[in-house]
Amino acid sequence: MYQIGPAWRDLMGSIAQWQLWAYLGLQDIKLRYRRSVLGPFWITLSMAMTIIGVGILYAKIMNTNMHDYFPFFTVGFLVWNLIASLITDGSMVFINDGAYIRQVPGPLLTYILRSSWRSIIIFFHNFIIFFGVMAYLEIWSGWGYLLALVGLALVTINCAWIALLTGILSARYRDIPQIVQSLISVLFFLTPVIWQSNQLKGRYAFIEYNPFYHFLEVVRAPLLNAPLEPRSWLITGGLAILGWIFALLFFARYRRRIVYWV
Amino acid sequence: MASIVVRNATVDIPIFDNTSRSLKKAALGYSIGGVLGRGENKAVIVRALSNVSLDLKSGDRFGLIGHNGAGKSTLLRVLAGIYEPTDGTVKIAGKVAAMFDMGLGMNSDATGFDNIRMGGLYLGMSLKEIDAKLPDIAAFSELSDFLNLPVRTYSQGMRTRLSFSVVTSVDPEILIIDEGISAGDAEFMQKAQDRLLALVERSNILVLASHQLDLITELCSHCAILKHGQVVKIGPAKDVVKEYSEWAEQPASPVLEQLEVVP
Repeated sequence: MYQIGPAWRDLMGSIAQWQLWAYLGLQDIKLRYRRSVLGPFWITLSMAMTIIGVGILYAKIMNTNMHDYFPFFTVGFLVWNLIASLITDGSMVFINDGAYIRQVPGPLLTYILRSSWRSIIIFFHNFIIFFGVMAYLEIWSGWGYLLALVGLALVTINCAWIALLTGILSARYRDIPQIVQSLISVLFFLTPVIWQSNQLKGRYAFIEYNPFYHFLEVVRAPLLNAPLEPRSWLITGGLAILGWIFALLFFARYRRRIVYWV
Repeated sequence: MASIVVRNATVDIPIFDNTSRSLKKAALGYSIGGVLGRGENKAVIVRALSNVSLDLKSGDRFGLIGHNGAGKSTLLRVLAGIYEPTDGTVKIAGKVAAMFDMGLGMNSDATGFDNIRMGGLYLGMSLKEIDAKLPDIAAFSELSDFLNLPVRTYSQGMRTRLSFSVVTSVDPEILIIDEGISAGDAEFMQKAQDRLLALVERSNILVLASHQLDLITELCSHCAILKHGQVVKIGPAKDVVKEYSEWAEQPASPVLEQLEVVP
C-alpha cells in the first residue's frame, strides 16, 4: 500500500522543522569535539596529510604533472568523502536514532536531513584544504566556484535519496550497512578519484555508467576550470529527480513500518 | 479543536531475531520458497493492541491503567501518532507533545542551557519559543549558574529538575504522558505539582498512563483499563479506578491467569 500523501507531508514537515535538525546537527558536531583544541579541524588535518602524502606519491607513480594532479586529487578526494559519509551515515540513521523515533512524534525524514547536514558541515571544514592547495599553486577558478556550489547541491540531493533508501533497508535488514560500506570502498577505487579517466584507453562502462563519476565531475570540472561535460550534468540532475521519486515511493510504501523495525 | 479518533486499532509488533533480520536468510528463503523457508523466516509477532476504539475531544482528561505489558505505552504511541496501527484507523488533530522518557535527548556533555534548547526542540518548540521561555525555565529549575556547566556535573536530582522544568514548559494541544512525571526531591515536589497542574490545565487533551491510581483520579475525568492489549473497561475515572483496585486485590492465581487457564 503506497501512502503517497503522508510520505509527501513527511518530507514537507521535515523541511519545515529545519530548526530542529540544523541545531541538533550542529550540536552533534560540537559535542563530538568538545574540549578538543582543534575540534572538527582534526579531520581536516588528517585529511590534509592524506592528500599531501597520496598526492605526491601518485603524481610520481603516474608520472603526471603535480600542478595538474594535485588540485584534481584534492577536489575528488574531498567530494568523495562527502559522498561516502552522506551515504554511510544515512544508511545508519534510522537504526541509530531508534530511541527518538519511538518516542518523538513527528516526520521521519528529519533524521535524514540531520545526518546529511552533519556531513555537509564537516565537508566545508575540510574544504579549506582545497583553498590551501589552490593558493599554493596560484590557481583561481572564478565563476567556477558558483557552478561548483550548484553541482554540490545536486550531489547532496542525490546522496540523500540513496541514504533514505539504504536507511529504510538497513532498518529492516541489519546486513545492509555492511554491504553499503563495502560497496563504497570498492567504488572509491573504481571511480576516478585517485586516477584520471583519460589515463584509461577506450571507454569503459564502469566509468560511463558510474553515477559517482558524474557526481564528482559536476563539482570537480568547474573548480578545475576543466571543460564542462553536459552529460554529467544531465545524469546528475536526472538522477536527482528520478531517484527522489523512486525513494519517496519506497518511503510511501514502508514509512509506517520503520518505527516497528528500529 | 484538538481531537483523536481511534477505530478498531490493532498493533502487531514484529520481533526480529538475528535469523529473520538477516538479508541472507530472506534471500535464501525466497529462492528456496516452500513451507520450510517461510516457516523459518516468519517473524514472531506480538499483538500489543487488539481492536481498540476511542474518541477523545477537547477538554478530555483520559487515564490508562493496567498491568505491565497490558499495552498502555503502545496505545499512547498510537494516540501520539508514533505507531500507525497495523489494522484500523487513527485520526489525530492537534499539536502533540509526548513524554515517554523525560531525559530524552539530554546530553551530559552539553551545558544546561544547550540541553534546554535541545529538549525544547524535541518537544516541538521553535528556537524563538524556547528563548522566550528560557528565563522561566531557568528560574523554575533553580539551577542558576549551573546552567552554564555541562550536565555531567549535575546530581541526579538536578538533572530531574532540569528536564522537569523543560517538559512542563510546552504548550501542546494534546499532551501524552507515560508513567507520570517525576520531580525530584520533596521540597521541589510541591512547586512541581502546581506547574504540572498548570500544564494539564492549558492542554486541550490529556492522556496519562500510570500505575499511580491516585494520580489518575486526581488528573483524569475518564479512564480505561487495558488488559492483553484490549480495553476491558471504560468510564468515569473514579468508578473505573475503584473497580480496578478491587480486581487487583482478588487473590486470583497470577500464573494461571497469565496462562489464560482461568476463564
